[in-house]
Amino acid sequence: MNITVCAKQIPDPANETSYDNGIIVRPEEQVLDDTDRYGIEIALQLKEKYDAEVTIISMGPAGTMKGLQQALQMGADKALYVDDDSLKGANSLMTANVLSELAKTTNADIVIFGTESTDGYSGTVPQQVSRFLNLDCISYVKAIEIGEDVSLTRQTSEGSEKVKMPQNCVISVTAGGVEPRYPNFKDIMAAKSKPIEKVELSTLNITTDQNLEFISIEALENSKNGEKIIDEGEAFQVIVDKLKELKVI
Amino acid sequence: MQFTLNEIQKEIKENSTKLLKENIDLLETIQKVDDNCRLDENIWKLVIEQGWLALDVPESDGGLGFSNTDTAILSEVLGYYMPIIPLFSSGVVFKNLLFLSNENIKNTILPEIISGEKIGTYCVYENDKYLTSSDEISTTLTKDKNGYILNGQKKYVMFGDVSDYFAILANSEEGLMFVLVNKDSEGLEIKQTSSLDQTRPMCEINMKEILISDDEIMIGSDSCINAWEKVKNISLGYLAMEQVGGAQACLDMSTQYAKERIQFGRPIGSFQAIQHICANMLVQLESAKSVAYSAVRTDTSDDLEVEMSAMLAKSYCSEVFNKIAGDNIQVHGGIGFTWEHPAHLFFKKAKSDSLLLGTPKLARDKIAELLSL
Repeated sequence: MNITVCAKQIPDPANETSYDNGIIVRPEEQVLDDTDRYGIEIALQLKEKYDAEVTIISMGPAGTMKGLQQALQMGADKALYVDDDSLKGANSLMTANVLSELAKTTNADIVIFGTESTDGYSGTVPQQVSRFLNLDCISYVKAIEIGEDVSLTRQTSEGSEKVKMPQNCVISVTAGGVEPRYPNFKDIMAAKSKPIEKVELSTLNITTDQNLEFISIEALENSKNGEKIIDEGEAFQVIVDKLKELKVI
Repeated sequence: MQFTLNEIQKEIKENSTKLLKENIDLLETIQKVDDNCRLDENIWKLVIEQGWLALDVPESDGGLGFSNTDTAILSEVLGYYMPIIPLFSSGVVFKNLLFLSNENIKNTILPEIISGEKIGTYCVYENDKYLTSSDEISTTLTKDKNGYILNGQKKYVMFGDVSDYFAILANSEEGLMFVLVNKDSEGLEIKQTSSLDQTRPMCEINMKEILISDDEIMIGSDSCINAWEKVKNISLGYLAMEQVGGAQACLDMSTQYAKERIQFGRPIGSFQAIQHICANMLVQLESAKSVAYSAVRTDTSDDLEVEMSAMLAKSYCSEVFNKIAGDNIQVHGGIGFTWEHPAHLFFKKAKSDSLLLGTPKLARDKIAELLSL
């Protein structure tokens, strides 16, 4: 079985993100998007069950490839990436087109995604890839149970539902159900010898156009919530009343 | 000598930091020590799974073959997050004693220690003089027709109540020896004692007529003192790294608070008095880092150099951690003096660390002796 996981390298969220004309300025060293760790974990659990091969695919500036290394350290077998200047600021359809073409080169039976990237937040790529690959898409997967059969638990607006996993599908995984593993030092060293291959964009069958244009970008306004209470000896009573109003006490 | 971390060391630091940062909340640690937690089993399990205990063990002994310097980076991270786990007692001191033990003990026990299946600890000191000369060790090992009989009492036994093996320094007719005692040995009594640093729970052990076979002599009298000095000096390097990690946590805590805490309409970090404290903390910390890294980078085959750098690290890093942990409380003001704030954990750890494996004064005396002063 071939399992392909899409993983994104993003600027370290611990640092402030900067933009150039609406496009994130990407440093040489980017890290693995934490949301993708959940998808990789699901893939690795499947790998342990079916002795599958797990391939990471990625699109974007490769830089030091630290994020891809981190994915390999978790236990993936190899990584493929596309890094082409013409893809700078690619919209989600273009991204899905590139990733689905990459997935085809891996002969993927199952393609796994995080629900949405931490830096882009479009949340539409998994579904679009499933359309390109003509596969079912199971979204908001939060847990996997591997027994005789494999079943997936989906997050729904009112709770969760369990579905049987088809042999071929696209899955988007949400946080909370599985605990992404920490790579141990043996895995960290082993990852250094795992293959990371660049795929030239020109070798892929890209059929979509870049049609998204950034007009402007604005930071969130600071929250104006909160009320200042001046203590003139009775402030505690105001706080108690407030807590009662909120049904905290 | 290289003064920056190489790629592997950066990865070790980054991965270990991520692991502990995501799994340790100091406010929960306060609750744990309040509940007399003797071992944080969740963190211990994670650390074992990551192979931390096997990192500095040669591949020929089933380890991962990393260097002392690589491994000591873990200690710096541990000092920052201070989990309640016996990495220092079992993974540093006891493990290094095993390296110098007889082949049979080493080959049997080392795999159990590096896999985390068993925990070991060292039992050396009997009073607060922290001396290990023959006349300071009253634990006796008397020759018997079946081997030896062990009697005595040891203090400051780190994680004693959760340990499976005890490396005990005892006095025999032949001289000082290290013997191995199992937690189930008849005649062994383990008593919990209160610890200043509650993240390193201490015990007192009493040994009454414990039968020791010849196979349980870890390190014989011919090499015992040299072996202990070597293990102690290597361990002091790791301890210094922990102290540096703890001091860094205090500095980060202080600077963060100085930016957030508003007094007289502006952050307290804008006041020169606070700025001076924080700036001095940084200067001292950077010097301590240099000393600690130097100690763990020293070639361990050069006993004299190892001893000198270990003593320097013990003396300087202990003083610096104590000062910075105290300054951290000063920067925080009243809140830093409360049980609910983690500043006291570091303050107590600083004091306790400065007494582990000897006092800073003993270290300075040793430096003077080495310099023939």
